[in-house]
Amino acid sequence: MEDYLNGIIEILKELYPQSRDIHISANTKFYEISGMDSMSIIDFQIALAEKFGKKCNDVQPMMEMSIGEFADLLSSL
Amino acid sequence: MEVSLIGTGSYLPNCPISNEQLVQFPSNALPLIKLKTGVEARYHVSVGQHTSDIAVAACKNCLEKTAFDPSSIDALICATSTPDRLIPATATKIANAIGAANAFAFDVNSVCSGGLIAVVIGRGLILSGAASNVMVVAADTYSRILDPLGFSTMPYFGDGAGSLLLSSSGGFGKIGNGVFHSDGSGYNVITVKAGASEIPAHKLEDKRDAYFTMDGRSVFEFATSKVPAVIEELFAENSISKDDVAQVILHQANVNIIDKIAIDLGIDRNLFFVNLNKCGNTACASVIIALDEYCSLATMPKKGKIILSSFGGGLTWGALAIDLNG
Repeated sequence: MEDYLNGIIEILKELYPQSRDIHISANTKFYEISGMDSMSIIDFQIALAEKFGKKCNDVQPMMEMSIGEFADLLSSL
Repeated sequence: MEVSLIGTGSYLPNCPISNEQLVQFPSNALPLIKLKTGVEARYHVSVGQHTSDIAVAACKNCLEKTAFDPSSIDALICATSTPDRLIPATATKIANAIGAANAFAFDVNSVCSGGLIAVVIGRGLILSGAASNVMVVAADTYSRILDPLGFSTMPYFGDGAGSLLLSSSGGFGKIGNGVFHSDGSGYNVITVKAGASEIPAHKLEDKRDAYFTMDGRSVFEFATSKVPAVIEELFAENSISKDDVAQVILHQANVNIIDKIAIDLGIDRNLFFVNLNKCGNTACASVIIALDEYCSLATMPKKGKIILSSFGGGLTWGALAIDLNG
């Protein structure tokens, strides 16, 4: 789960430069990431699949989810 | 003196692309495009086809419909944020191509608000006496600046061009006073960073800087707060009643934005023209293309007000009315 969490945070900071100055943790909700919306969250999912494999496409991140919750979902695949 | 609308024209490229054809994205994400934006298809220019080509086609469409002699055009204004080149103005190439030999031609870049701002400038040229006939063409080829793998931008936009002919006499509608605003604190909300003085092409290190980026959530909040207010401002300044409204043509960015604005204005949603489903967001051309389509309808009324409003990068937003005079 730790690997997924760190990978998710790395991708978020890469995709959303406006979020680089904020502390992103497992408790951070996706909607708190500046620049993320219901369309750009798919860009995040695509980047995830490139990093962790196509299985990531089986789990849809939701704006109201926390990053930790989503990392848990990924690690359960 | 009044400024009249003589005619309109438009052009969409020959290459339609449906959402299902966007195979670079996960197939389970594709239904989100229509759900979140209303877009079902868009058109892209073909290889070797540029912004000036589609602009010329839109101008010729307008000239053919009006049987207007292009040598009588005094000024040609091209609104675009995707010019053929940074230098010179694409408008000069367009004017040359359509035979507007006597026209003073120049470009206007105000991103998606550019089309209506070009109309305002054209109106001003006529009112000042500097011109009698002005051709306004709005054309964008966003397919050329979008990251093809960017789900948050690529599916939204299409290529297209719209044109209209303004004159000091004649016509079927009067162009009224517009109301326009800008806010530079939103400079980074909609942008292409590289290719000009900030990051010249030869200094490009990160390819992503050459692509169009947009903070979608901020754009939604901006559009749904500013557009109803500027339309109300237009109504107040021009003594327009909601009962006078024949049609509202908003910038065709997102159907959910249009729905919310209709609710906030208290104007019947059926009076809002929508074509973004079939051609996407054509940036500065969107309102002008939609206006041309509306004016081509047999059901267009002879009298009433057409309310046009745009919003876009800068940030910029505004509205103006066309008074159909029967």
